[in-house]
Amino acid sequence: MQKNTLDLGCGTFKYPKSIGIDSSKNSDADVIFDIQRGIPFPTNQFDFVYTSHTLEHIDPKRLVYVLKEMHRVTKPTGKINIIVPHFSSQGGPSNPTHLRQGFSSLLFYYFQTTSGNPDFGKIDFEILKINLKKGRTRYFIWNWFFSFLEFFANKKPLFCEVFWIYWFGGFDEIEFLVRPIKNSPKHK
Amino acid sequence: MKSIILDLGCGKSKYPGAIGIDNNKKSDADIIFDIERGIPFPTNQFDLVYTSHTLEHIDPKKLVFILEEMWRVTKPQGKIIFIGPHYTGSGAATNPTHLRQGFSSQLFCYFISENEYEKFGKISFKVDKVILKKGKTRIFFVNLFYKAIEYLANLSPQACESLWGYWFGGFYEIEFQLQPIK
Repeated sequence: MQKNTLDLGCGTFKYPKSIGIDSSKNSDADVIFDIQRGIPFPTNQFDFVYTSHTLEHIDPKRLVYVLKEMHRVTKPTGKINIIVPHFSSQGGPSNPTHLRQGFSSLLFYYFQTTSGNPDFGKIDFEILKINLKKGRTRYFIWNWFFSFLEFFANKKPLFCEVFWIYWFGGFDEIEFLVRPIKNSPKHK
Repeated sequence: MKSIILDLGCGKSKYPGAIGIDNNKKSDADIIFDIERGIPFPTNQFDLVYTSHTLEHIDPKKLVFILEEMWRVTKPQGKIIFIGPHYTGSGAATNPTHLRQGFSSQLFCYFISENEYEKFGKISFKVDKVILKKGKTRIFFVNLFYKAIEYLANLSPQACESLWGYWFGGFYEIEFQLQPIK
């Protein structure tokens, strides 16, 4: 069976064989739509929801709503892949259209807190993987060194973030692979 | 011939000889206007457009528009000086009226990115110089040390930001010296 993939904010680099949504007419999107207004698909539709360097461009007041929409359209067995600038990056504060300058590894912790989160117990995500990434340069030695840093950072991203994140110029990207938790007894 | 200078968000320390715009009536502005709505001057008007510690106070959604407006009102041979908090500095995160918490040396790369910028090819800036600055203290030796750090940082602001920007407490300010490409 073919996998149903959705790419939010696909731009001109759409995820292969996915349905792309973007607010820009100059993109490769199949659906021109502003995801701040929601994801125009029924519930439990996609096996894979992918979004790369998009969530930092939306109105910060809509971020939780868009994450909830991603939770909604993903099948219970599906996965969500989010790539955004890391808070320690140089790229986050570089782009003048970034409305949020970066994300940390504890982003999804919000959904597990009872205070300040009116959706507690209804919406949750299981974190499958968190990946901090450095950019790459033209130099082999630097790239080798960066791979080495990534290896240690991704042993324990939180420890890296609270202790040594700024020692080597921060990390450019953070990638989350998560699964929406639906219909578990706790989440009825 | 006297050069015509514009100071955006001049506050009470207007650039000498400049026409000042500010949205605050208590400022030294010649024109009380909110630049989020644009710059109320015709195209190619100014030899220098100066803005210091202003663009971090505007609605982040309006930032690209205001940079485009600055591009528009500057003469083709004119210059733009833009000073703002650096993202590594504590000042950026200190002021409760900052709507954006700092700028990096790569800000103007956005305008030369074909994939990102919708008006790509129409509007861009030549970055003549990027200067990272530490704050100053009362202690002579600390200032001397800061001078040395600034010297090293400004050999390559990009390398500094992506490798050692946070080693000595970050940088307070970033200054861009630009020319509009028309």
